[in-house]
Amino acid sequence: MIGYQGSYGTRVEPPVGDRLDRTLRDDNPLLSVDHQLWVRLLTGELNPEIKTLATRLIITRLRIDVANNPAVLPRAVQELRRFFADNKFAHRDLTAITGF
Amino acid sequence: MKNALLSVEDTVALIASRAILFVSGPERLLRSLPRGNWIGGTTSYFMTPDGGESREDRLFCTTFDDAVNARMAILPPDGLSGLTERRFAHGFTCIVTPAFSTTLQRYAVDGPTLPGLYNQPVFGWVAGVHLDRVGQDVPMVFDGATGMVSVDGLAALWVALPESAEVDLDIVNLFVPGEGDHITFPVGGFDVTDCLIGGAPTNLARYIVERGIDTTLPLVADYAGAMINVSFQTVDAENGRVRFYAPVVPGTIYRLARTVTDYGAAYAEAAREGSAADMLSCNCILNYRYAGLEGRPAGGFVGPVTFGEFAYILLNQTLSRLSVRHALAA
Repeated sequence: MIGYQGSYGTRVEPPVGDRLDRTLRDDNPLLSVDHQLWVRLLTGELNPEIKTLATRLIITRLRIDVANNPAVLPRAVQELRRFFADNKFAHRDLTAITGF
Repeated sequence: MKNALLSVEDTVALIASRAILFVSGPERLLRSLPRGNWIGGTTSYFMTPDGGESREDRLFCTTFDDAVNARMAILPPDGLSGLTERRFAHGFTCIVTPAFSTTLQRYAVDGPTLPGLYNQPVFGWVAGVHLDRVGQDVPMVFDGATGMVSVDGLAALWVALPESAEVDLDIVNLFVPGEGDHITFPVGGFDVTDCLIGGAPTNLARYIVERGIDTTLPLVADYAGAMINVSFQTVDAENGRVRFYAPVVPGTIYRLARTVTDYGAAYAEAAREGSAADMLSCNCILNYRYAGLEGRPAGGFVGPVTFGEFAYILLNQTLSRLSVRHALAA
């Protein structure tokens, strides 16, 4: 079973049915849309060290959306996941988020 | 990418060579340029290798000699979605829009949510005028392809690059949040009255005046590691209103910035990772004024001094920089 180390040192196991999507454009595996890491990232519970300006800005814009209206969280997760799927330049940030 | 502070004659020669250019300078000089592959915007201030200076006889020209294609246009305030819709598959976009314009306000608020905005670099700046002529001269932008001049549009230059080229867009911000209370805003925008300071409802203008806060320092928010400023334009304690140069955003935590002691050293430190002269950059007129950059170099960064900067979103009191590098052949 894969484990994840969060920014607060807590170990979070992936939810049942979670998986890695390897069908996207790059070798870097992308967490499925229902993975809890996206939620932790967009609610500010998880704060990995992001290097790329574009990634920093889109994460913050989506965090603000979610903070102002938690109901948009699923859409925000989809948008962020699509950003990583479309942009190879951001994959070093994806590695910082997933830990692999 | 090549940068140069040129005479009109030399700029005309570059345009005649079909170079793809981003040009900044005084209105009179920009109006004298022929049609070609360029966009431009007004400014009277430049950062040069020797330091900041105000010139009325020179144009700052960046030549994108890496480009394999380009297109340009001036987008109206209600047509900003064209910014991402019209870009090339691989490349970047340069933009310039006039200070005080509806377009600037619209982009500042709506730009961050443009679909796909963050998929490709968007670099640019806000056109200004000489500080002695604010309110008399009008900032404007130019589309060299059509000869169109606008006081309320967003001039865009979409640049296509070869697959071997990689673009890097980043910012250099000398400010970090200070130790003071969190400041949040229930309602966003350029003009504000009330906020929460340390969770307590407060009139921001009166708070600033009562405490003698130095408003040459911006508010700073931590955007997942990027420090993003919002600078003060006016503070009207009598009417309890503060106007900013960029909109504050509800749900964002701001703090007043910590004082910067040595701007020159801070820019030199920021430039250490690469040759700043090979990048296109723009720096804020507020840094030029408050940091005394006239006659003082800023770590080798060169480019126009502007009334606001863009690195995807509108920035204040920040240096924005764009560089292109090519992967080494196998």
